[in-house]
Amino acid sequence: MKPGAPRGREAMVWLAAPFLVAAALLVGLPALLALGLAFTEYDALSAPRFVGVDHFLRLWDDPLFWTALGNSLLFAAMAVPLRLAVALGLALLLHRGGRLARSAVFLPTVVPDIAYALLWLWLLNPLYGPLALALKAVGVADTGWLLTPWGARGALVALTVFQLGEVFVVLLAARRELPEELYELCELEGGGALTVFSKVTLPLMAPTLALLAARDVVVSLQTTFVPALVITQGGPRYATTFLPLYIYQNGFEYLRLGYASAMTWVMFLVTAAMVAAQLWVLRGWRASKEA
Amino acid sequence: MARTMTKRWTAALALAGAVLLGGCKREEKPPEPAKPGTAAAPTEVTLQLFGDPAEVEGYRQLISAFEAKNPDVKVRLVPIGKQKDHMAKLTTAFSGGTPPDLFLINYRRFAQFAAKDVLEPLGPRLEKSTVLKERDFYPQAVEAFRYDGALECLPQNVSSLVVYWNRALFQRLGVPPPKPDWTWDDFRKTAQALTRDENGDGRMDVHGLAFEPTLSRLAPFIWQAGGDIVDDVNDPRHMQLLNEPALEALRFVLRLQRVFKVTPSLEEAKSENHEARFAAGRLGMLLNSRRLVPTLRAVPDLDWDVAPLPRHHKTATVLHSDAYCMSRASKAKDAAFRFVEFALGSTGAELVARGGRTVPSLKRVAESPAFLDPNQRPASARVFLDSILSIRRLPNVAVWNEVETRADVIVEEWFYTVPPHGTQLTESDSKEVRPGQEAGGSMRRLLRQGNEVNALGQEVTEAVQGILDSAPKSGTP
Repeated sequence: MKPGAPRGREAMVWLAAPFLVAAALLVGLPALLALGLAFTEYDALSAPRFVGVDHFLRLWDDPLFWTALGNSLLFAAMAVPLRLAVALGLALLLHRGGRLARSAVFLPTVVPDIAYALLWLWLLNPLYGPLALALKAVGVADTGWLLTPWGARGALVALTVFQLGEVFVVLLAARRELPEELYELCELEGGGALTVFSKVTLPLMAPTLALLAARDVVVSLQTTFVPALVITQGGPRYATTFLPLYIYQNGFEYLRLGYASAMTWVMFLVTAAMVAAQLWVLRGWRASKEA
Repeated sequence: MARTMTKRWTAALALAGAVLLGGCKREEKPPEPAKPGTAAAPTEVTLQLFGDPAEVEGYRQLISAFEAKNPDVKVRLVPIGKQKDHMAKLTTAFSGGTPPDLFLINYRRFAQFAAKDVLEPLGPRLEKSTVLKERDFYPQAVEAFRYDGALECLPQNVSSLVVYWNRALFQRLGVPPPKPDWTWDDFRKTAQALTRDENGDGRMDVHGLAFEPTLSRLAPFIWQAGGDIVDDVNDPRHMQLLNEPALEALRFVLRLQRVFKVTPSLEEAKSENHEARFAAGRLGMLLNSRRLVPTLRAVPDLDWDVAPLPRHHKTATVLHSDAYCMSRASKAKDAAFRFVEFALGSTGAELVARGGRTVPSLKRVAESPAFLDPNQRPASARVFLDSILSIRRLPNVAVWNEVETRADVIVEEWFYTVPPHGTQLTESDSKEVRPGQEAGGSMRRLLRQGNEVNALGQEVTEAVQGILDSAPKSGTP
């Protein structure tokens, strides 16, 4: 490094600057405007009218809001552990090689969301879809479960499990960073695969996993929008009406942008709270390890 | 041969798309190369609508014909595939300050814009028009587009719900065609005679009847039984789905589905839409409005016709009408209105009528060969005109779009959710309710308390009462 060049923290600030500026302009500012709108009645056609905390009180009494919030949390609770477990399994399986297999794992992540959703709409067709036909071939004639609330939720979770390319790549890198000496030592000591996994791999990768879990919770709360809009349209009977979809319906179908803004902020706070809770648990876990 | 035709059509569509894209980029030159500084560029008018490719093609022809006669106006078509997306794009365009100059919209949905005062009322322009007169239109359609007494938009069509029936399938299965004055019983028996499991695998290969389980499709049956959807069509405050005539209609519809089993099951309906099933010759009768015609005409060798809805205590059908609305923010109002005059006038209305999409709102075109052409399907096109006599409409207040959106989810679930221990309904219509049975799904509570028929009224009322209450006092006469 040249003398006089910015170093350490200062350099990081400079490197992050373009991102920070763009984030402030494209995320921070609209978020603040949305917060302002949350206290108004605004239909996008006439001027906003201040209504105080009315929208937040109305949220409290809106059963569909609670359904949507519950669905979103349920989705995250099902999808995040599953995605992490599958990605970890694949990373451990493929960290030594298998370029083709790695590409295959990453591929679904590259497919545009709409195309991916349409593809699944066909895959999940209850009578003529490949899944239904395969089930029929093995003797499961009744594929009506796909149209039940839990069937639909399960299908949407399954669909996101295949789009784990980013998580997979990070875990792959994390696994390859682990010192091989440890594994050799373990082998000499005669540790079985399970012991190696629980005593070496998992503890060393835990910080990465925790960070990915936090990120995945945020992603899970947002990515439900396209599949819910395209595949299930929020149904059957609101079983897949997640918060982003409900916000969209209120904002752009019923022109209740103030109400939708209030919901957006509640979603933001819920997301922040969940991430904070995870980080808190992580800190506690680290402290217990160090003690 | 068929393949060549398909290719040709694809090429034609691609060409039309290219022309449209050219329009988007405003690259198209005025027809006569103008000398610098003398002629102005053509005024651009945007028109947004939704429809299937076959429907949209009809509007492209309309625009070409208009532009040929009006070289100083260029109409840019913004076609959207689905009604929901059409609505979402309209609302975002209005909020972004760039609404289309003109758009086509159903009477059940225009009022949310009228209520916000973002529409240019077309009534006064109609009064001054030398091309169109209000008395030339069917009053049922015109009346549907009044908001607070003012005529906001001008209707292009006056369609109604009718029965599309597959003539070839009727003949093959030896089922007599629908009679003009048929009853619920005839209708049900016809549907039963058509429903067949031809290969014996336990799944019906041909269904007698299909319709979308929505409030607007149920409405005519409720009216035929002497009931109502709401207390006051001009100022709806309460749903009326729990009154006995409405319940009689709901029982009839539900018995078709779960006792006589003439309609596709939930699985079947979700696997293949009704139009595709009808086009493939596996559906005897399909309830829909006029907008299905261009799509069905495009299906080679499909032999079909239309029949009126059956009657019960009364004859009734439901109005389906779309109108041209103009944005108040439009900067090309005069040019846009010239297009409306052309589209709704004899030339334009005939052109669109020939394409099959509309039952023209202009009486003289509706009664003309352009609409009643015996060489074009449906042969019984007059059914649409005869239905106008018994046509009724749904509310057109600002909150109605939301009421229907909320209710339709419930109607669909109600229609398909059979209590796990089987239906309480029987082949003969009976009001008797057997003791409540434990049911699955999210309707469990209501099915336990009441019965499968009035669960609909209870749930819909519970879901939409708040929306109806939130509506401002309307002054619509």
